[in-house]
Amino acid sequence: MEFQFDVRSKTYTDRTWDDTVQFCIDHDHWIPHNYQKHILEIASEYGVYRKLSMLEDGKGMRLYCTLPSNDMFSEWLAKRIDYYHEVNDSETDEERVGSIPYFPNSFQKRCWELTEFTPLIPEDLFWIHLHKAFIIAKNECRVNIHAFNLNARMAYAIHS
Amino acid sequence: MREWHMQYIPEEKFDKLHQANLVPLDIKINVYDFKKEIQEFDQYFTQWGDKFTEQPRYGLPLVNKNGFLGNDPEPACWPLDRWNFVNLGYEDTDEGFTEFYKKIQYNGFSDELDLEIDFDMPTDALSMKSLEPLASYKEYMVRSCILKWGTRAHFKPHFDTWHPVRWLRLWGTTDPDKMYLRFRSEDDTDGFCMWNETTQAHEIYAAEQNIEAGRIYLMNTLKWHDAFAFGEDVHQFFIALNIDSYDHVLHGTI
Repeated sequence: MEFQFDVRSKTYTDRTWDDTVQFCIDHDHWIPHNYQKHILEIASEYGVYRKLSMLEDGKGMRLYCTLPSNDMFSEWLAKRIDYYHEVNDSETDEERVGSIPYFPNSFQKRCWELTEFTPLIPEDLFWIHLHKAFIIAKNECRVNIHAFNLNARMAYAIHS
Repeated sequence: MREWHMQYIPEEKFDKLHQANLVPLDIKINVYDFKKEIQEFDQYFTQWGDKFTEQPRYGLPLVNKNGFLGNDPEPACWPLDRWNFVNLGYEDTDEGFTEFYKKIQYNGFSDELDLEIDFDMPTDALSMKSLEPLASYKEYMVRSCILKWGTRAHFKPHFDTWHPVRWLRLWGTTDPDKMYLRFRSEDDTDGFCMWNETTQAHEIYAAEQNIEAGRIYLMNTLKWHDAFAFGEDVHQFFIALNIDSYDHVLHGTI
């Protein structure tokens, strides 16, 4: 499994950053310590790799992510969905309807605008494994289609 | 016999040997032959340690304390820090383990700990024909095992030794395309995000690249590292050498 997405600051909309480290530090204080610890433990159990780079305009960063297999992506996301329900909170409350999370926004920081979620595997395969996560999770999750890039949205329309 | 246990490798000599996290040695196990032969010993693999037993992590001793296969428990196939922690009677909590680890770091133990060098009896498994490339290292081998892992088996971030160093670690795997061996990295932008329970910190780990199947490497286990499998039947060669091996290893690096 391979995908990438962009995040920009909702809080400091006119500011630019030189590096991803400072960008992250400036948004870290929204994250409860125990929440971060737990989601890192989940990530480490499923081999989640990520590479960060600044966007060209300096207002956010691109996250490139891989997991060792598509099934491990489904299992990882199912764990994240269930943890979302367990703590009845997430890193964002935007896009929420009641207490149901939306993928991908509900799994990133609430102070970030997430766009251009781009599967880097065949789109149909991506949607199959995203829905597999929804099926194996004990709790509900929905898709925020607006966060995805055009090709993924088109594949979603065909797939669903 | 602990007469030679007080010997250690000076820091500058240790650094001279460990020029990278993994230093390739002139030892290569034939993976096909090994996979075939190891089946004969399948019944002697036991669960690794007493924690995280839901994970498919198994060990087979090559060198243990009595040379027998089938010991229960088999301390050679436990994380040695966990074995010592349990046997020294610490309270089995995260706080207890942190206290134990701090005492290790400050050399707060004298002869109380079981060390790698206390395991020096070869088992029948070490006589496997496919392990013959290890022949010239066998006289130095102390606590050593074959690990067999399945999907999602892992070791959490840890380090295995500290100065003064009294033994060396050799490592290799049959399946580098089905596992990560990762070391703590200074590069925050690129790697695996990990929670380190001991340091209580968010840390980044980078996976070693270009690991050759069957190649045996000298590994720097002074550094924080972890490992993670994402396939079935991933075997690892988990070998410790006493420090008399120093010159031999130095000449065996390629």
